[in-house]
Amino acid sequence: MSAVTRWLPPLVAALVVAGLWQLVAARDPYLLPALPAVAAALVGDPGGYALATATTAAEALAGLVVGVASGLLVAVVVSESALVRRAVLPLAVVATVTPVVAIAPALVVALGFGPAPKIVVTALITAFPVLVGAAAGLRSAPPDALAVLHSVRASRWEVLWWLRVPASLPYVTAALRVVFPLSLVGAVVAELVAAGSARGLGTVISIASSNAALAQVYAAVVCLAVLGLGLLGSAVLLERRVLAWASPSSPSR
Amino acid sequence: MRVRGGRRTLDGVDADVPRGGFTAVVGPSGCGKSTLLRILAGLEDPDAGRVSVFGQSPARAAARKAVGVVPQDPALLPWLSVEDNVTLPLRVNRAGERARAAAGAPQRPDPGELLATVGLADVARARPHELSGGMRQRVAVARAFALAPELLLLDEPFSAVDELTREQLQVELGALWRRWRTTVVLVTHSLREAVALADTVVVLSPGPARVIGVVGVARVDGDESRHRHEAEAQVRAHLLASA
Repeated sequence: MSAVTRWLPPLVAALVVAGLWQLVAARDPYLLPALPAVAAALVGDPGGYALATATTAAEALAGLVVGVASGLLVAVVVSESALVRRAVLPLAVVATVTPVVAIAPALVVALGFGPAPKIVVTALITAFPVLVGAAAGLRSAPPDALAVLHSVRASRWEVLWWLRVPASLPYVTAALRVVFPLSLVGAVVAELVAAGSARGLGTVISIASSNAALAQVYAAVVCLAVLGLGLLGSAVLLERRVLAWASPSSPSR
Repeated sequence: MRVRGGRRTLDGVDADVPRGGFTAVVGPSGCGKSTLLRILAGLEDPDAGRVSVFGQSPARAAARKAVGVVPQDPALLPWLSVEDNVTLPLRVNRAGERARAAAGAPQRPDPGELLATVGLADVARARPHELSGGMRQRVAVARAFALAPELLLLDEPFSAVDELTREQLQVELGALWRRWRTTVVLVTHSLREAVALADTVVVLSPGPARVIGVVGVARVDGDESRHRHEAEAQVRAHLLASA
């Protein structure tokens, strides 16, 4: 695929959206701010937006680390014990279908206005997709490969290390592709609920909205979009590195 | 005897496999051939009856890594190189390694030499997805022989490859068996493959499986192909009589 055919369609689509945006903004600036005004907001306070982006990124990454680590740990336990699996997986399903952001205000009451509630909300949002994906992946080991290892009486840990964990990686990286950008949702929602002392992008949006400063709101949204793309790109890079052994035609790639 | 889901899959399978011999097990689809192999490998327990692998239970034989398995699917781990796939069974179950050494088990073949024997020395560092189906199955056979098992169990190992590759793999398996003289039990649905490779063919009835015939395949003095045809005709006759 040439560079032109690759980049031209999204470029044209972006220009069309920008044109429509400008039409709406010209009619009603309280519906959408003009794009130059959004750019001016960003250029006018680059340090402030950079700091807010760094704050939100730090909260999202901290929550992501806690969420992914707990999801993986519980998935290993669940995959090794049918009893724990029967006990935990229904709870995980309930937690997955419950909008965790709804408990953000309660977490602020419980944990205060510091980074803790933001990290906890992000961890809760990201843990369950990883748990469900990793648990499915750990159980996806091919029966014939299991038979080969069982025929030489490989221990449970050897089967886990040599077979189940590597077999789960396509599932885990697919889950990471979902939860890396999702971590921003947790951090921003928690910031919206509890602005706190740290000035993250959610706080910027909250304050700018209450002042009807739409250009600043969308400037923060642009920062979030860039951050989200960065996180998604990191997940894709991680996937390529981890799954370097996968065949190019494998469904996981 | 083995009962699965309320249905008896093996019933009265009574046969001796001579040490160092090559025994093929044939029978109609679904008669319990693979279940028999899983029981011999210690992967399933029979509900009744007795199975002995060189005087031990299959589980004990497996615990000292005396049994090699070649499944229908090569079951290679795609994240390991060809060489690492071949040596993987050697790296697990350290206690089994010690038990094997204490039992005075024979020295194992060099993995590199094994790969060379099956024509895969050049792809030792390749990943399984870079190999053809026949090459993958060769790796699975080399992996089983790398253990220097006392008993080698093959479950329709060449059923997914084309006829030409299948014949090549049969020749290579025969050569490896003659070289290492391990006891082999091959489950196959191909009568031609059974008589081409084995010196004894055990014929099972439709499930629940019983032994309905044991056919010897003479490999000495003169016209081997005539012996094979006679053996194939005898096996076919047993199967037709039980159908």
